[in-house]
Amino acid sequence: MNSEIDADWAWAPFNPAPDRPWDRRLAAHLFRRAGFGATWEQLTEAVSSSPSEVVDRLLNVAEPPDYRKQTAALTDAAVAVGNVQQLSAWWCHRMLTTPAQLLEKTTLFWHGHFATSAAKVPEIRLMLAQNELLRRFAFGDFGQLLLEVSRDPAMLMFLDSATNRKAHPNENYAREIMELFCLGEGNYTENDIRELARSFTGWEIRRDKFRFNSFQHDSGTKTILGQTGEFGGEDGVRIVLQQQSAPEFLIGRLIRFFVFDEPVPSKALVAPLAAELRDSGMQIRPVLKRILSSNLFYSEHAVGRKVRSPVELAIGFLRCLEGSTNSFELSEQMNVLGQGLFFPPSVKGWDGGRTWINSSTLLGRSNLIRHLLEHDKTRFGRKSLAEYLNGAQLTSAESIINRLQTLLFAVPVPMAAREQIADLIDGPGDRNRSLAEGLHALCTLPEFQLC
Amino acid sequence: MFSQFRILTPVLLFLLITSSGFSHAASAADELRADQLLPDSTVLYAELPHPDQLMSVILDHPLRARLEQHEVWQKLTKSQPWRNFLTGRKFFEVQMGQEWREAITALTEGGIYAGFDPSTDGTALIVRGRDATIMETFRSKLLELLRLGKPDTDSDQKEYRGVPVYRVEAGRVAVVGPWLVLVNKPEIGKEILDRLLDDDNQLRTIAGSAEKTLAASASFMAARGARPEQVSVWGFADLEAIRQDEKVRKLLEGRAENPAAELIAGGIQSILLNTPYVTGELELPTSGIKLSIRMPSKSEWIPEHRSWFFGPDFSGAAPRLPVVPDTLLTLGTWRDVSQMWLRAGDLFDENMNDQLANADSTLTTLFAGRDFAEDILGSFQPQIGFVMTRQNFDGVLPQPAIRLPAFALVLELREPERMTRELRRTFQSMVGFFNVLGAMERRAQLEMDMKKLPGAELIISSYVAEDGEKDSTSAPIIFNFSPSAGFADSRFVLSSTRQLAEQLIVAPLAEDAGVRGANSFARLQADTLKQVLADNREQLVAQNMLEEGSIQEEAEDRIELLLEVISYFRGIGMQLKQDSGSLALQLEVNVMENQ
Repeated sequence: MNSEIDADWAWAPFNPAPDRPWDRRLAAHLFRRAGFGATWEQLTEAVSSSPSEVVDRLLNVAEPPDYRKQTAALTDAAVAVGNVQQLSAWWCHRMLTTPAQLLEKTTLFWHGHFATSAAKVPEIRLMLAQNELLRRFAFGDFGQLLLEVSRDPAMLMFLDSATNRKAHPNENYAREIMELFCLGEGNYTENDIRELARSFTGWEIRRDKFRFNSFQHDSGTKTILGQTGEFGGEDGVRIVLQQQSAPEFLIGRLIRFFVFDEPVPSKALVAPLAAELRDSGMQIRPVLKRILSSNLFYSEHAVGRKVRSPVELAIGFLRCLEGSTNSFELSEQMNVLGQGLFFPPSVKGWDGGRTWINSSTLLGRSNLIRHLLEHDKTRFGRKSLAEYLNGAQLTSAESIINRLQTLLFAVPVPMAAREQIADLIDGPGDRNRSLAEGLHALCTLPEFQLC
Repeated sequence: MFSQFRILTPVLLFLLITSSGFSHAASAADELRADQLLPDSTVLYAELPHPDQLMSVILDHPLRARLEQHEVWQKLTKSQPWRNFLTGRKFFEVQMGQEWREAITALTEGGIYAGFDPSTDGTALIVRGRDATIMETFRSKLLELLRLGKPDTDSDQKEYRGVPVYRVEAGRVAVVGPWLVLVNKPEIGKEILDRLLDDDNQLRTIAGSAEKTLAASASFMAARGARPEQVSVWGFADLEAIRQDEKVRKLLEGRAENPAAELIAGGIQSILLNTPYVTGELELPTSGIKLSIRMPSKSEWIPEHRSWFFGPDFSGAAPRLPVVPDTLLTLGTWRDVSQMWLRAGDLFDENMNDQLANADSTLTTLFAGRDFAEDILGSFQPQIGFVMTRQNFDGVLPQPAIRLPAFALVLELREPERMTRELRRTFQSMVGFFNVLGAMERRAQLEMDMKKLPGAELIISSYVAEDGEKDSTSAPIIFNFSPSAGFADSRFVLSSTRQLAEQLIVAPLAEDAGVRGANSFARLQADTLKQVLADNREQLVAQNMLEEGSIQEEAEDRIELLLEVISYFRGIGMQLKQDSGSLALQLEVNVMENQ
């Protein structure tokens, strides 16, 4: 389909028009993609600015010192306890509470891109260090990020590449950097992998730290992707990044994560952004800004064209309603649905898109929302659901459904469903119970699975 | 309004049993005790002889003023449930025509009693008020209330020998003179009413009489004879009758699956299999709560294979332990663990014996071929001490992020000279073993050292910090540990930290703190517990934020509240002691008496 999309139009800045106004619905779309979701107040504030200004704010918002201090204390506690469930809960809590939503969302993107699972890295300090690395470079220089990841203890341990001797070059990392991290299949040969692996010889992890063992480095001449020389690992990373396909591959991934799941973006659609990425020295921030401010991003090609991942589903549901809950259970529930934080299924990360949905996970998603609504630790704006909605002056079923539709839905709730849900909300008995039933019913609609 | 009445009904019901009745029955009823009303087949009995005193201890406790000043209490008193409670209380006062405490005192002045009779599956709650008048007032008010909420209450009223009996939910209530009787089965209710209405008091107190009551049963008489005068609550369980139940008997005769359970309660299990009854006493002085569970005990009831538990003729006494600063927990016991291990075949099931055999083999290897049960465990006296203290990290680096208490075993060597050398060598082997394991798991390594003190020697091991970790104040949890062993003549200390080993090996023994002769004792110090938790305040706040979904301020308030609640307590104590043919397990919770 996107072969028909005009790339010039697609990446031109979005200018609201009468047939596509910059309203809360579009602002909610931006927050769902460039974060996890927004409250009514955030949407109200957003529509008083231009889309571009809101994107700027999302890209540049800094976590206040108090928040950073609080997060540091939580990080220390997670490390002190020393189990990865604590770390998953910590990240859940951070996603739920951070004012820098886009930074966290992009960190999640890199976690799926440079997928590393704690299942093979039992030392949580290493997983945390990698997470902080991904966050530090989330909007920055991809080349530097790639180099750091190439020397990251958690990554190398995960890929069984903690030792790499010249006598037996370990090809695991060399293969993944070309196939999964930078170039994609078809843009390298098996010989390139072997030669790149030689350049990484001597890169080792000892006592949880990276070390270059010059005695185990193959200092001979290598030919990698058409370039010949006595390359070391840094040279290898540089050569991979210099390939034409590197920015194209990365832009394809970004489009798929931020704009639409399907179809695969065409070369023509990718080309302008790939050129911009290359020209900027592989800086992520400018292309991210362009994507999130573009005509394509706010068009019918993008709105409601992604399936919510379990993280987007659960964190988004809570963030939109100022929700809080037990982070341990929340992270465990997301794990059950296939997106355990720090537990990507393989080095390929999460497949995403339609693979999030099957008969089992659909039921699981419904159960997750019910679990959240029934959990005694779940509160909305520190209140019960009824108190929260009453506080927002939402008393009639219609006003409640309208509000929830704007906050939570990328596509309209069908009329028939609205009537049934209104009946649930106005049902007899405990008001909290009725509201929870109505909200649960809303969140089990197929429309809610889209974002 | 009716819903409020319904909420009040159980409260008022509880007090109802003190009203109606016939004047001709009152004189006989006045002289009776509750145990004379219950059948001799009663297996469980409890009495609260002076509810007014209990109420006074709780409501007039010095801590109350401190509690009432607390922010949480202030919030509670502004809540809707609290306002509902006050409304209910006011309603009760209006109905009774007096202040609620006076009314409750009058309604329960003669005590509250409960019994369970398995022959009829009947449970009875008996309340004795000050006099028939107050009970009659209460009964009539309660009936009015019931009729307000449910107009056909009369249909739930029947008579037994002229006494009105009211059906309320699944129970039946009647009032005779100053007595209120609430039962779940009519059979037990009839028995109680018969005794209240009959003027034949003498028969009930004579054992073996035609009319058998609980008061006349031999076990109960023996138990009651040993009942202290001043107790807040007293209970009795007829174990001889309870053991008739096959499940109970099997449980008591069964072999343990768990060595820890056997170590803690094996000997008590043997006594429970033979003792005729168990009594419980709850005392509530202003200094706290003291619960004592007593049972007759004889040394012949302890089988040979459990002689390791109490020692010959219950002579095994827990040791006095060295006194060190910042003690959190002390635990002392007499258990011949070596014997227990050797007698495992008689004590545990097949599965556990297989596991113990495997463990024995591994441990024998670990201890350089020396038999674990005979040579290692057998080298210690049966007196076992365990001490836990708060760690002081002042001036120490690296400091762990989570600060755990230090803990140590304090033991006595049978042959100090020989065993000191053996254990020193074994400790060195253990450190080496841990280093090999640690290296495999990429953990920090232990470094060994020795220290001589006057009359004592220490073998110390401590974790070596990596370069970037040496000055850390949020180091990994292993930096809580510096495993060390101390030797001073026959005293042997195996400690999680060097500091505690050094303190314990030279510290003087505790004076008799009321536990001399006890088989086992334990004591938890609340002030140190508070300090240990305060040391980890940040971690607790973080954990609370993640678990409760709280914001930081809420989490901090919760942890502050926890620390505040702990500060209301002095500590918790326990001891197990055999004395004058009776085994007693005493649990004590001490609170702060001063504001």
